[in-house]
Amino acid sequence: MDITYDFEVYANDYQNAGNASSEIKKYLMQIGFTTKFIRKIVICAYEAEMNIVIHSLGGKLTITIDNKKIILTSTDKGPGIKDLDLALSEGYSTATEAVREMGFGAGMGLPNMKKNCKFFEIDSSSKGTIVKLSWEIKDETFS
Amino acid sequence: MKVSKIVELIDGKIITQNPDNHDKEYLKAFACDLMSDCLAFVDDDNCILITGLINEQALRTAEILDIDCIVFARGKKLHDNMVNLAKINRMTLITTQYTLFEVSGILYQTGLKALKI
Repeated sequence: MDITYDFEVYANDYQNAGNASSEIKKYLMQIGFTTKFIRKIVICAYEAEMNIVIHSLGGKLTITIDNKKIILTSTDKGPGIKDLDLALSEGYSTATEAVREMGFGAGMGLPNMKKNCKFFEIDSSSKGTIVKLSWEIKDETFS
Repeated sequence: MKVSKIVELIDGKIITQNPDNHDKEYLKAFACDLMSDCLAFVDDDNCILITGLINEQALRTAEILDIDCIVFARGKKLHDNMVNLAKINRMTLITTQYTLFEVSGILYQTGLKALKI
């Protein structure tokens, strides 16, 4: 049976940015996965959450868990990524100076997500961006 | 290296301390103001974070990476909500007047190692 949780993420809400990822981390810890496995998932969740806050008009994070895999989906309401190839390369960022002063906008978000998951898909248009990441659940992913 | 030794070496002030890591031996440190880089490179929970970034995102990043000790350089004052968030997540926060470069130099010289990236 699948278990799914949705977390609303609001544009420019820097005060609460990270709350959804923190909740996801607590939930994964309760299930009993290893610290290392949880870290990979939550790094992706946090990068995705920050991307929604910084770059989008708002959106949500969804995590779905079944017996074999964990799927994390980030969905936003636009305006979309103009050049996906550039956005996926390390060091490229369209973040403003104000965002950089907050410690983000190093151009590591999407590359970092790609590095930390097993499967990575991204689709972007002016209506929004969907990033879908997944991990396989194996015996060794439990502590 | 224990929290007490770190504080002594950098003339630091403990703002809040997690009682669980009183005797924890930290082996490594990562000094950075870019949280995206921390997320990309830190993969060791015996590592402390040294930063000059004063906002909740420094705490959130540490939480995600299982870092439970942060040194804030350049004599900056921490906001109350940062301290509350640290207490909730059982983290130790230390402030010091030294710069990021000085803190890194002192702790490197006295035994903390760099992360291999």
